[in-house]
Amino acid sequence: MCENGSGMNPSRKRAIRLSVALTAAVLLASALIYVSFSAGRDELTAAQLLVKARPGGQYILAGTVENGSVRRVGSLLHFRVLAPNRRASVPVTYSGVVPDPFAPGRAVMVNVTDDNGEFVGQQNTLTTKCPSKYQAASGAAVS
Amino acid sequence: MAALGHAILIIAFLLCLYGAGASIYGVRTGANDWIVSGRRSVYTLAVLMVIAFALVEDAFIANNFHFRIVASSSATTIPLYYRMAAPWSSQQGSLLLWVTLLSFWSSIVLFLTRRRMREIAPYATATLLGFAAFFDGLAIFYSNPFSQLPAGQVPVQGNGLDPLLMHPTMMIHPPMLYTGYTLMAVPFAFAVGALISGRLNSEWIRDTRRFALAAWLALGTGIMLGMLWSYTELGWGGYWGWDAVENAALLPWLTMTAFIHSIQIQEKRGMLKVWNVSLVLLSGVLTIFGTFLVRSGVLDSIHAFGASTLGVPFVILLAVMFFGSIGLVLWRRDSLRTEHRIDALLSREAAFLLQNVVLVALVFVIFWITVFPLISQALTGTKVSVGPPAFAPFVVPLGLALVLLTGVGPMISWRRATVANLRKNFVFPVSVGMIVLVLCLSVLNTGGHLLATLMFGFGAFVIAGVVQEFHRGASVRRTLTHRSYPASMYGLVRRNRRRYGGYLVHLGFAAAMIGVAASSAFEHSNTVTLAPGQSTVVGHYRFSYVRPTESVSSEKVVLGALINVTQNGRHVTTLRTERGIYPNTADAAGDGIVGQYFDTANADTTVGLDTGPLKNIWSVVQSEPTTRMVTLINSGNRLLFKAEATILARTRGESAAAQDYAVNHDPIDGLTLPQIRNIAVAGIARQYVTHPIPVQFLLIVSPMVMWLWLGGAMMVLGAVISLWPAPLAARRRELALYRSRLARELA
Repeated sequence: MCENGSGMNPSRKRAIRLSVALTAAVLLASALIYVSFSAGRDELTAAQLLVKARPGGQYILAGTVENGSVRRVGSLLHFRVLAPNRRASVPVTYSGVVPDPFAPGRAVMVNVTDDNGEFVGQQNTLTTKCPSKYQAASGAAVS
Repeated sequence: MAALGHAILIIAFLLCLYGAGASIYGVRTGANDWIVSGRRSVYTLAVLMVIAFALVEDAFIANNFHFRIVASSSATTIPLYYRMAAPWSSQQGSLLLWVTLLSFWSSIVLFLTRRRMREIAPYATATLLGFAAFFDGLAIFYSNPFSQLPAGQVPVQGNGLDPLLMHPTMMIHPPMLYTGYTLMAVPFAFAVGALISGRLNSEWIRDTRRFALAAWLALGTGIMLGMLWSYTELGWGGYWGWDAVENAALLPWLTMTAFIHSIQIQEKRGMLKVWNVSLVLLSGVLTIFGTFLVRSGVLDSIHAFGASTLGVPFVILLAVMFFGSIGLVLWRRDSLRTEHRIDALLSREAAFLLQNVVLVALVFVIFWITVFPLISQALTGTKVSVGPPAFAPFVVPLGLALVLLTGVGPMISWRRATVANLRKNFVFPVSVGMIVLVLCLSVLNTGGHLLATLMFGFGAFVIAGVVQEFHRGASVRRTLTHRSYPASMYGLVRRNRRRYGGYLVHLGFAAAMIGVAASSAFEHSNTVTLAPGQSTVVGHYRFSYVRPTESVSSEKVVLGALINVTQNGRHVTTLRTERGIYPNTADAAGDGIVGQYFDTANADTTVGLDTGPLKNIWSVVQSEPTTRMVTLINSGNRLLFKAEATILARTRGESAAAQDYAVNHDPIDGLTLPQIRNIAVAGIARQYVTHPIPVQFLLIVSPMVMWLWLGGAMMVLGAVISLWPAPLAARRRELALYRSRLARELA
């Protein structure tokens, strides 16, 4: 309640400020959750992609470039991406900037579109992990 | 050497445990000798870790491939200065650097505070030694930098350093980041000490403020150097990719930015104690979170160490820090009660508080989007990535608000702003901001990018406000001292380093944000395949592929392109972009004797860049060995393999060393095998120029990128000025003010 014309009860003022702050926080959190789920894309391994992919669907493919699978035809780069268990792999056709560390045996991520079983990488979406950071798990060889 | 290094790590670990125990025992029993002994443990630890790090450096300098990390991260062909920087490219070396820097900074802060904060410092010592024991323990039990290869497996040549890391910024960027991270541990440790001891006055804030600012400076410089490396080396044309590890470094920097501002409110008005201590604790937790992200490999990132087993220890440490921090704050909530409340919304306190809220909101947004793949995996079983576009709707408006508040904060009065204050301080900067905004909308026609245009207006408002503050201060000082204007300006900054250093940081931040807005919103780029003689248009510029280039050195084969850039027929610049291919010694057997020199698995890009205050013209070429070259490489491999086999057959029965000598020195038709190989490599590389094929380019024209680097440099300069010790008189004045404040608090 206002004690005079110019002021407001301090506790009420605090309550209003807290409500405004909480409302803003809730709005921000809601927007974040909405954007995260609506704009997100599944980040799949090769094995998951083979099961889940639908023609025209867009996915993020993560895995390791299969040894001996890299082939360049004109400006197109063809390679296969292996699943972590190395049992499944999918073919990818990619055009655009290829990061310097890209090589067989290295981990990559690429946005792909399912073109009837052929996975077409979206231009300039191929990223490769920095190979210097490939510290092997204890005892394993450095890739 | 390796045994000595390993012994040092173990002794250091035991020393950490002893020092932490001695400090806590000393403070609990009031036995000062134990407290001193605990502090001296930190000094001794620093000496030990410097010796351990020197041993690793020596191994890299001497190409001692008995060391596992030297064999995997270095080679004899790498220049000495990059070999010296190679230790922190590996997990083992970077962990050792962590402990070394932590012990070094801890020693300095504990030495400087040895006669103050007697109740707080022992707990801080124990906390710092706890961190050191954790990282030293990781180095001993998980990732030992002194690990040796078995005698029979020591290579003659190492695997080499990733070419991408052979860049001047990479010699400074990681140590700067680690300096920032380890300095963050100092305010965290003193906050823990203050909470445990219950000494929650302004003393610990005052004594660790300088370290908080130093952490902010080092982390910020490290981030900026990483951005520069990304822009000039990684070949994708950007400086910030919202990569998980980039974000992890940004998060504690943002919380520390909030802290550096909000402690001023605690110092001046005794407010926001809970908030400040929470920000310090959060910064400490986020620092370890960032290190966890890099080392655990839980999120896919270009920077992350893969296949690591360090995740579990980090999760345990994070849990202890997080829940421990919450517990301590709740325990001491009565002592942290604020002395005053904000008097008016139009006041500097309110502006700083709002700025803090914006910064924390930014931290929350960036944290959420970064870890969302983990959250979604926990909830749905599938990792869902939202990627860089998801950041923009949140980060851009919050960034705009931050820039606006950067301008408002220093100009508005403490406690309650009057109309006269607002008129006096805001008319000029607001007018400048409005004029820039109108000019951008009308003359430059930037209306299509409203938020970027708003950033130009807000940035101009901040810059005008800072210029006004400098001008006013210098004018008053000139009147008082009757000295020249530049001398008055110099004296002004010299006598008020914290304040005017801070203004310079604001100036730099505004310039950097203008650069970010311009280069993000008004960039033109094109990925195109061109043959020599062909051209394409990007933005207002025509790029013509003039001719391919090549060169061969003992270090690498370089395949590149010369590009001519014109605007309306007028020559603007000539760009030379190249791709250096380093010998793939790790897979020499698979690639062949000649082929190892053309394996693009070990390549780095040199950006063709023309930079200026208003625009950057940027280009990279995706040079690859042509089909014709590949055919010749295969022929060369076959011929040289045959020649090598002939020599080996001739020397059968001799020792391996003798055979190796024969392969490298026995002449075939007057030439040795390496000489023939070099001639073949040079001849094949020449084919790239004599028989050119179309190649792919990424071409970018982006405005005002230089503003980002200049703004960043100005922020660094401002922070250094703020950190620089004040002249004696000013220091005494500050101390007197502090003592009077402390007396009031104690009373």
